[in-house]
Amino acid sequence: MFNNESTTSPRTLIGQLPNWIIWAIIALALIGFTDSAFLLAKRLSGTPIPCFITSGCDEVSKSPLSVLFGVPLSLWGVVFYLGIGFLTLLYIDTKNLLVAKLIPLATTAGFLSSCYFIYVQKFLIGAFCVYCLLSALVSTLLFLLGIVVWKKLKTTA
Amino acid sequence: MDTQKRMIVWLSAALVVGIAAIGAYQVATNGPTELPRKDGTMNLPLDETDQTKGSKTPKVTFVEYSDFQCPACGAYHPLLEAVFAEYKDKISFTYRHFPLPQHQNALAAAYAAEAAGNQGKFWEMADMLFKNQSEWSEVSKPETFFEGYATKLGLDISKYKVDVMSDATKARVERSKKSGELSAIDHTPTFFINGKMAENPRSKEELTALIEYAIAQGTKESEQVK
Repeated sequence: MFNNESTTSPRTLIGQLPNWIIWAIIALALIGFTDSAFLLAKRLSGTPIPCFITSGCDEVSKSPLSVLFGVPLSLWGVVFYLGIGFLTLLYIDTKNLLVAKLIPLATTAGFLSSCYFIYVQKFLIGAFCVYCLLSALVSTLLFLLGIVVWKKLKTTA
Repeated sequence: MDTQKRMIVWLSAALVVGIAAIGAYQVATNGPTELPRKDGTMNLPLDETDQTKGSKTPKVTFVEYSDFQCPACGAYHPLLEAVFAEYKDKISFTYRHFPLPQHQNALAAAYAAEAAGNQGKFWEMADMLFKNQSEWSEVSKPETFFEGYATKLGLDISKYKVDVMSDATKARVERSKKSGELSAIDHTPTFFINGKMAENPRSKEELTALIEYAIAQGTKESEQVK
Protein backbone atom coordinates (compact mmCIF):
# COMPACT_ATOMS: atom_id res chain seq x y z
CA MET A 1 0.00 0.00 0.00
CA PHE A 2 1.07 3.51 -0.69
CA ASN A 3 -0.81 5.31 2.03
CA ASN A 4 2.39 6.68 3.48
CA GLU A 5 3.36 8.27 0.21
CA SER A 6 0.06 10.00 -0.22
CA THR A 7 0.38 11.76 3.12
CA THR A 8 3.62 13.35 1.99
CA SER A 9 2.28 14.28 -1.46
CA PRO A 10 0.91 17.75 -2.26
CA ARG A 11 -2.77 18.18 -1.61
CA THR A 12 -3.72 18.13 -5.25
CA LEU A 13 -2.58 14.55 -5.60
CA ILE A 14 -4.57 11.45 -4.90
CA GLY A 15 -1.79 8.91 -4.48
CA GLN A 16 0.42 9.42 -7.51
CA LEU A 17 -2.22 11.06 -9.65
CA PRO A 18 -3.49 14.64 -9.87
CA ASN A 19 -6.89 15.16 -8.31
CA TRP A 20 -8.49 16.55 -11.45
CA ILE A 21 -7.68 13.46 -13.51
CA ILE A 22 -9.35 11.19 -11.01
CA TRP A 23 -12.50 13.31 -10.88
CA ALA A 24 -12.60 13.76 -14.65
CA ILE A 25 -12.42 10.00 -15.11
CA ILE A 26 -15.20 9.45 -12.60
CA ALA A 27 -17.40 12.13 -14.20
CA LEU A 28 -16.85 10.70 -17.69
CA ALA A 29 -17.49 7.17 -16.49
CA LEU A 30 -20.76 8.37 -14.97
CA ILE A 31 -21.81 10.06 -18.22
CA GLY A 32 -20.92 6.96 -20.19
CA PHE A 33 -22.74 4.76 -17.71
CA THR A 34 -25.93 6.83 -17.85
CA ASP A 35 -25.80 6.92 -21.64
CA SER A 36 -25.35 3.15 -21.90
CA ALA A 37 -27.99 2.50 -19.23
CA PHE A 38 -30.42 4.63 -21.23
CA LEU A 39 -29.75 2.60 -24.38
CA LEU A 40 -30.03 -0.64 -22.44
CA ALA A 41 -33.37 0.42 -20.92
CA LYS A 42 -34.59 1.36 -24.40
CA ARG A 43 -33.59 -2.02 -25.67
CA LEU A 44 -35.23 -3.91 -22.82
CA SER A 45 -38.46 -1.92 -23.05
CA GLY A 46 -38.49 -2.11 -26.84
CA THR A 47 -39.50 1.55 -27.22
CA PRO A 48 -38.09 3.57 -30.11
CA ILE A 49 -35.16 5.89 -29.53
CA PRO A 50 -35.75 9.54 -30.39
CA CYS A 51 -32.82 10.75 -32.44
CA PHE A 52 -31.47 14.27 -32.71
CA ILE A 53 -28.49 15.73 -34.59
CA THR A 54 -28.02 12.39 -36.36
CA SER A 55 -30.76 10.14 -37.65
CA GLY A 56 -31.00 6.39 -37.42
CA CYS A 57 -30.75 5.73 -33.68
CA ASP A 58 -33.31 2.98 -34.04
CA GLU A 59 -31.62 1.48 -37.05
CA VAL A 60 -28.29 1.30 -35.25
CA SER A 61 -29.58 0.10 -31.89
CA LYS A 62 -31.80 -2.59 -33.41
CA SER A 63 -29.13 -3.79 -35.82
CA PRO A 64 -27.89 -7.37 -35.37
CA LEU A 65 -24.42 -5.78 -35.20
CA SER A 66 -25.35 -4.22 -31.86
CA VAL A 67 -24.91 -7.55 -30.08
CA LEU A 68 -21.57 -9.03 -29.07
CA PHE A 69 -21.37 -12.64 -27.79
CA GLY A 70 -25.13 -12.57 -27.31
CA VAL A 71 -24.94 -9.52 -25.08
CA PRO A 72 -26.20 -6.13 -26.31
CA LEU A 73 -23.47 -3.53 -26.71
CA SER A 74 -25.35 -1.22 -24.37
CA LEU A 75 -24.88 -3.78 -21.60
CA TRP A 76 -21.18 -4.04 -22.45
CA GLY A 77 -21.10 -0.24 -22.18
CA VAL A 78 -22.75 -0.31 -18.77
CA VAL A 79 -20.23 -2.90 -17.56
CA PHE A 80 -17.30 -1.01 -19.11
CA TYR A 81 -18.13 2.36 -17.56
CA LEU A 82 -18.99 0.78 -14.23
CA GLY A 83 -15.63 -0.98 -14.39
CA ILE A 84 -13.75 2.25 -15.08
CA GLY A 85 -15.58 3.96 -12.22
CA PHE A 86 -14.91 1.02 -9.94
CA LEU A 87 -11.20 0.93 -10.75
CA THR A 88 -10.89 4.65 -10.13
CA LEU A 89 -12.69 4.45 -6.80
CA LEU A 90 -10.61 1.45 -5.88
CA TYR A 91 -7.54 3.53 -6.60
CA ILE A 92 -8.82 6.41 -4.46
CA ASP A 93 -9.45 3.88 -1.72
CA THR A 94 -6.25 1.82 -1.90
CA LYS A 95 -3.78 4.05 -3.81
CA ASN A 96 -2.62 0.80 -5.33
CA LEU A 97 -0.50 1.55 -8.40
CA LEU A 98 -1.41 -1.77 -9.98
CA VAL A 99 -5.05 -0.63 -9.99
CA ALA A 100 -3.99 2.71 -11.51
CA LYS A 101 -2.14 0.87 -14.26
CA LEU A 102 -5.31 -1.01 -15.16
CA ILE A 103 -7.08 2.28 -15.97
CA PRO A 104 -5.10 3.08 -19.15
CA LEU A 105 -5.45 -0.55 -20.22
CA ALA A 106 -9.23 -0.46 -19.87
CA THR A 107 -9.60 2.94 -21.52
CA THR A 108 -7.49 1.79 -24.48
CA ALA A 109 -9.74 -1.23 -24.92
CA GLY A 110 -12.76 1.08 -24.75
CA PHE A 111 -11.29 3.46 -27.28
CA LEU A 112 -10.45 0.70 -29.76
CA SER A 113 -13.95 -0.72 -29.38
CA SER A 114 -15.43 2.71 -30.02
CA CYS A 115 -13.34 3.10 -33.18
CA TYR A 116 -14.72 -0.21 -34.38
CA PHE A 117 -18.31 0.80 -33.54
CA ILE A 118 -17.91 4.06 -35.47
CA TYR A 119 -16.65 2.00 -38.40
CA VAL A 120 -19.67 -0.31 -38.12
CA GLN A 121 -22.09 2.62 -38.03
CA LYS A 122 -20.47 4.40 -40.94
CA PHE A 123 -19.75 1.51 -43.28
CA LEU A 124 -21.88 -1.46 -42.28
CA ILE A 125 -25.13 0.18 -41.13
CA GLY A 126 -24.85 3.55 -42.84
CA ALA A 127 -26.49 5.42 -39.97
CA PHE A 128 -25.27 7.05 -36.80
CA CYS A 129 -26.85 6.89 -33.39
CA VAL A 130 -26.16 10.02 -31.42
CA TYR A 131 -26.07 8.18 -28.08
CA CYS A 132 -23.47 5.78 -29.48
CA LEU A 133 -21.42 8.75 -30.71
CA LEU A 134 -21.64 10.29 -27.25
CA SER A 135 -20.30 7.05 -25.82
CA ALA A 136 -17.50 7.07 -28.40
CA LEU A 137 -16.65 10.65 -27.43
CA VAL A 138 -16.62 9.77 -23.73
CA SER A 139 -14.42 6.73 -24.27
CA THR A 140 -12.05 8.81 -26.42
CA LEU A 141 -11.73 11.38 -23.63
CA LEU A 142 -11.21 8.54 -21.16
CA PHE A 143 -8.52 7.15 -23.43
CA LEU A 144 -6.74 10.53 -23.49
CA LEU A 145 -6.95 10.73 -19.70
CA GLY A 146 -5.68 7.16 -19.61
CA ILE A 147 -2.58 8.28 -21.51
CA VAL A 148 -2.01 11.05 -18.97
CA VAL A 149 -2.40 8.54 -16.15
CA TRP A 150 0.05 6.18 -17.82
CA LYS A 151 2.63 8.95 -18.29
CA LYS A 152 2.27 10.15 -14.71
CA LEU A 153 2.75 6.64 -13.44
CA LYS A 154 5.80 6.22 -15.61
CA THR A 155 7.49 9.44 -14.50
CA THR A 156 6.74 8.91 -10.83
CA ALA A 157 7.55 5.23 -10.80
CA MET B 1 -8.37 6.54 4.65
CA ASP B 2 -10.17 5.37 7.74
CA THR B 3 -12.98 2.88 7.46
CA GLN B 4 -15.71 5.44 7.90
CA LYS B 5 -14.38 7.61 5.08
CA ARG B 6 -14.05 4.59 2.81
CA MET B 7 -17.61 3.59 3.56
CA ILE B 8 -18.78 7.09 2.62
CA VAL B 9 -16.85 7.04 -0.66
CA TRP B 10 -18.20 3.66 -1.76
CA LEU B 11 -21.73 4.23 -0.54
CA SER B 12 -22.02 7.62 -2.21
CA ALA B 13 -20.61 6.12 -5.42
CA ALA B 14 -23.22 3.36 -5.27
CA LEU B 15 -25.90 5.95 -4.60
CA VAL B 16 -24.84 8.12 -7.56
CA VAL B 17 -24.72 5.10 -9.88
CA GLY B 18 -28.14 4.00 -8.63
CA ILE B 19 -29.66 7.43 -9.23
CA ALA B 20 -28.10 7.61 -12.70
CA ALA B 21 -29.46 4.16 -13.55
CA ILE B 22 -32.96 4.95 -12.31
CA GLY B 23 -32.89 8.30 -14.10
CA ALA B 24 -31.78 6.71 -17.37
CA TYR B 25 -34.46 4.06 -17.04
CA GLN B 26 -37.17 6.65 -16.34
CA VAL B 27 -36.18 8.79 -19.30
CA ALA B 28 -35.95 5.74 -21.55
CA THR B 29 -39.32 4.28 -20.66
CA ASN B 30 -41.30 7.52 -20.49
CA GLY B 31 -40.58 8.32 -24.10
CA PRO B 32 -43.17 8.14 -26.87
CA THR B 33 -44.15 4.69 -28.09
CA GLU B 34 -44.07 5.89 -31.67
CA LEU B 35 -41.80 8.41 -33.30
CA PRO B 36 -42.61 11.01 -35.94
CA ARG B 37 -41.87 9.75 -39.41
CA LYS B 38 -39.07 11.51 -41.18
CA ASP B 39 -39.54 9.96 -44.59
CA GLY B 40 -42.45 12.24 -45.49
CA THR B 41 -45.08 9.53 -45.35
CA MET B 42 -48.39 9.98 -43.61
CA ASN B 43 -48.69 8.28 -40.26
CA LEU B 44 -52.34 7.28 -40.12
CA PRO B 45 -54.14 5.51 -42.97
CA LEU B 46 -57.45 7.00 -44.02
CA ASP B 47 -60.60 5.47 -42.61
CA GLU B 48 -64.31 6.21 -42.23
CA THR B 49 -63.82 8.51 -39.25
CA ASP B 50 -61.93 10.94 -41.48
CA GLN B 51 -63.72 13.79 -43.21
CA THR B 52 -63.38 12.70 -46.81
CA LYS B 53 -65.22 13.78 -49.92
CA GLY B 54 -64.95 13.01 -53.59
CA SER B 55 -64.45 9.75 -55.40
CA LYS B 56 -65.22 6.56 -53.47
CA THR B 57 -62.62 4.72 -55.55
CA PRO B 58 -60.04 7.45 -55.89
CA LYS B 59 -57.06 7.26 -58.19
CA VAL B 60 -55.40 9.73 -55.87
CA THR B 61 -55.96 10.48 -52.20
CA PHE B 62 -55.35 14.08 -51.24
CA VAL B 63 -55.09 14.87 -47.55
CA GLU B 64 -54.82 18.32 -46.08
CA TYR B 65 -53.64 18.91 -42.52
CA SER B 66 -55.06 22.28 -41.73
CA ASP B 67 -56.03 24.78 -39.07
CA PHE B 68 -59.18 26.87 -39.54
CA GLN B 69 -57.51 29.88 -37.96
CA CYS B 70 -54.34 29.76 -40.02
CA PRO B 71 -54.29 32.53 -42.63
CA ALA B 72 -52.30 30.45 -45.14
CA CYS B 73 -54.90 27.67 -44.84
CA GLY B 74 -57.62 30.24 -45.46
CA ALA B 75 -55.74 31.48 -48.51
CA TYR B 76 -55.39 27.95 -49.87
CA HIS B 77 -59.04 27.16 -49.30
CA PRO B 78 -60.57 28.65 -52.50
CA LEU B 79 -57.71 27.23 -54.57
CA LEU B 80 -58.21 23.72 -53.17
CA GLU B 81 -61.98 23.95 -53.61
CA ALA B 82 -61.63 25.02 -57.23
CA VAL B 83 -59.17 22.26 -58.09
CA PHE B 84 -61.14 19.68 -56.16
CA ALA B 85 -64.36 20.59 -58.01
CA GLU B 86 -62.49 19.82 -61.20
CA TYR B 87 -61.14 16.45 -60.02
CA LYS B 88 -63.85 15.23 -57.66
CA ASP B 89 -64.61 12.17 -59.80
CA LYS B 90 -60.99 11.02 -59.80
CA ILE B 91 -59.63 11.93 -56.41
CA SER B 92 -60.68 11.99 -52.79
CA PHE B 93 -60.07 14.93 -50.55
CA THR B 94 -59.62 14.52 -46.80
CA TYR B 95 -59.45 17.25 -44.20
CA ARG B 96 -57.46 16.53 -41.07
CA HIS B 97 -57.26 18.88 -38.13
CA PHE B 98 -53.94 20.27 -37.10
CA PRO B 99 -54.88 23.19 -34.83
CA LEU B 100 -51.75 25.10 -33.91
CA PRO B 101 -51.27 26.07 -30.27
CA GLN B 102 -50.70 29.74 -31.10
CA HIS B 103 -54.17 29.96 -32.66
CA GLN B 104 -56.47 30.41 -29.67
CA ASN B 105 -59.72 29.64 -31.48
CA ALA B 106 -58.51 26.97 -33.89
CA LEU B 107 -59.47 24.07 -31.63
CA ALA B 108 -63.00 25.41 -31.05
CA ALA B 109 -63.36 25.85 -34.81
CA ALA B 110 -62.29 22.26 -35.38
CA TYR B 111 -64.92 21.08 -32.88
CA ALA B 112 -67.56 23.19 -34.64
CA ALA B 113 -66.70 21.64 -38.01
CA GLU B 114 -66.83 18.11 -36.58
CA ALA B 115 -70.16 18.83 -34.89
CA ALA B 116 -71.52 20.08 -38.21
CA GLY B 117 -70.05 16.94 -39.79
CA ASN B 118 -72.29 14.84 -37.55
CA GLN B 119 -75.19 16.38 -39.45
CA GLY B 120 -73.51 15.92 -42.81
CA LYS B 121 -72.38 19.54 -43.13
CA PHE B 122 -68.65 19.31 -42.39
CA TRP B 123 -67.54 20.83 -45.69
CA GLU B 124 -70.14 23.56 -45.55
CA MET B 125 -69.00 24.50 -42.05
CA ALA B 126 -65.34 24.38 -43.11
CA ASP B 127 -66.18 26.73 -45.95
CA MET B 128 -67.95 29.13 -43.54
CA LEU B 129 -65.05 29.03 -41.11
CA PHE B 130 -62.44 29.80 -43.75
CA LYS B 131 -64.47 32.49 -45.47
CA ASN B 132 -65.22 34.29 -42.21
CA GLN B 133 -61.83 33.61 -40.65
CA SER B 134 -61.13 37.27 -39.81
CA GLU B 135 -64.46 37.58 -38.02
CA TRP B 136 -63.87 34.97 -35.30
CA SER B 137 -60.11 34.53 -35.13
CA GLU B 138 -59.35 37.09 -32.46
CA VAL B 139 -62.55 37.14 -30.42
CA SER B 140 -62.72 35.69 -26.94
CA LYS B 141 -65.94 33.75 -27.48
CA PRO B 142 -65.83 32.35 -31.03
CA GLU B 143 -68.56 29.81 -30.16
CA THR B 144 -71.28 32.41 -30.69
CA PHE B 145 -70.05 32.97 -34.25
CA PHE B 146 -69.87 29.22 -34.88
CA GLU B 147 -73.44 28.78 -33.63
CA GLY B 148 -74.47 31.53 -36.01
CA TYR B 149 -72.89 29.60 -38.91
CA ALA B 150 -74.59 26.42 -37.74
CA THR B 151 -77.94 28.22 -37.81
CA LYS B 152 -77.21 29.55 -41.29
CA LEU B 153 -76.45 26.04 -42.46
CA GLY B 154 -79.78 24.90 -41.10
CA LEU B 155 -78.33 22.54 -38.51
CA ASP B 156 -80.28 21.17 -35.56
CA ILE B 157 -78.84 23.62 -33.04
CA SER B 158 -79.58 21.61 -29.90
CA LYS B 159 -77.79 18.60 -31.37
CA TYR B 160 -74.95 20.82 -32.59
CA LYS B 161 -74.51 22.27 -29.09
CA VAL B 162 -74.25 18.81 -27.58
CA ASP B 163 -71.92 17.50 -30.31
CA VAL B 164 -69.54 20.45 -30.18
CA MET B 165 -68.84 19.68 -26.51
CA SER B 166 -68.78 15.90 -26.81
CA ASP B 167 -65.80 13.74 -26.01
CA ALA B 168 -66.20 11.92 -29.32
CA THR B 169 -65.70 15.20 -31.19
CA LYS B 170 -62.65 16.09 -29.15
CA ALA B 171 -61.23 12.60 -29.62
CA ARG B 172 -61.60 12.84 -33.41
CA VAL B 173 -59.78 16.16 -33.53
CA GLU B 174 -57.10 14.86 -31.17
CA ARG B 175 -56.60 11.75 -33.32
CA SER B 176 -56.16 13.95 -36.36
CA LYS B 177 -53.70 16.24 -34.60
CA LYS B 178 -51.71 13.30 -33.21
CA SER B 179 -51.40 11.74 -36.65
CA GLY B 180 -50.12 15.08 -37.91
CA GLU B 181 -47.47 15.16 -35.21
CA LEU B 182 -46.44 11.61 -36.01
CA SER B 183 -46.26 12.52 -39.68
CA ALA B 184 -43.68 15.16 -38.68
CA ILE B 185 -45.76 18.10 -39.86
CA ASP B 186 -44.18 21.46 -39.16
CA HIS B 187 -46.45 23.81 -41.07
CA THR B 188 -50.07 24.26 -42.05
CA PRO B 189 -51.44 23.51 -44.46
CA THR B 190 -49.50 20.33 -45.19
CA PHE B 191 -50.62 18.15 -48.05
CA PHE B 192 -50.23 14.43 -48.53
CA ILE B 193 -50.82 13.07 -51.99
CA ASN B 194 -51.24 9.30 -51.93
CA GLY B 195 -49.78 9.30 -48.44
CA LYS B 196 -46.64 11.20 -49.35
CA MET B 197 -45.93 14.70 -48.18
CA ALA B 198 -46.05 17.19 -51.04
CA GLU B 199 -44.45 20.59 -51.38
CA ASN B 200 -47.02 23.33 -50.93
CA PRO B 201 -48.01 24.41 -54.45
CA ARG B 202 -47.66 28.12 -55.12
CA SER B 203 -50.43 28.35 -57.67
CA LYS B 204 -53.47 26.57 -59.03
CA GLU B 205 -51.34 25.38 -61.94
CA GLU B 206 -48.79 23.82 -59.62
CA LEU B 207 -51.51 22.09 -57.61
CA THR B 208 -53.13 20.78 -60.79
CA ALA B 209 -49.75 19.55 -61.99
CA LEU B 210 -49.17 17.71 -58.69
CA ILE B 211 -52.53 15.97 -58.96
CA GLU B 212 -52.11 15.16 -62.65
CA TYR B 213 -48.70 13.68 -61.92
CA ALA B 214 -50.12 11.55 -59.10
CA ILE B 215 -52.94 10.32 -61.33
CA ALA B 216 -50.41 9.46 -64.01
CA GLN B 217 -48.41 7.49 -61.46
CA GLY B 218 -51.36 5.15 -61.41
CA THR B 219 -53.63 3.74 -58.81
CA LYS B 220 -50.93 1.52 -57.42
CA GLU B 221 -49.62 4.04 -54.93
CA SER B 222 -52.99 4.76 -53.38
CA GLU B 223 -52.91 1.27 -51.95
CA GLN B 224 -49.61 1.94 -50.23
CA VAL B 225 -51.06 4.56 -47.93
CA LYS B 226 -50.23 3.09 -44.58
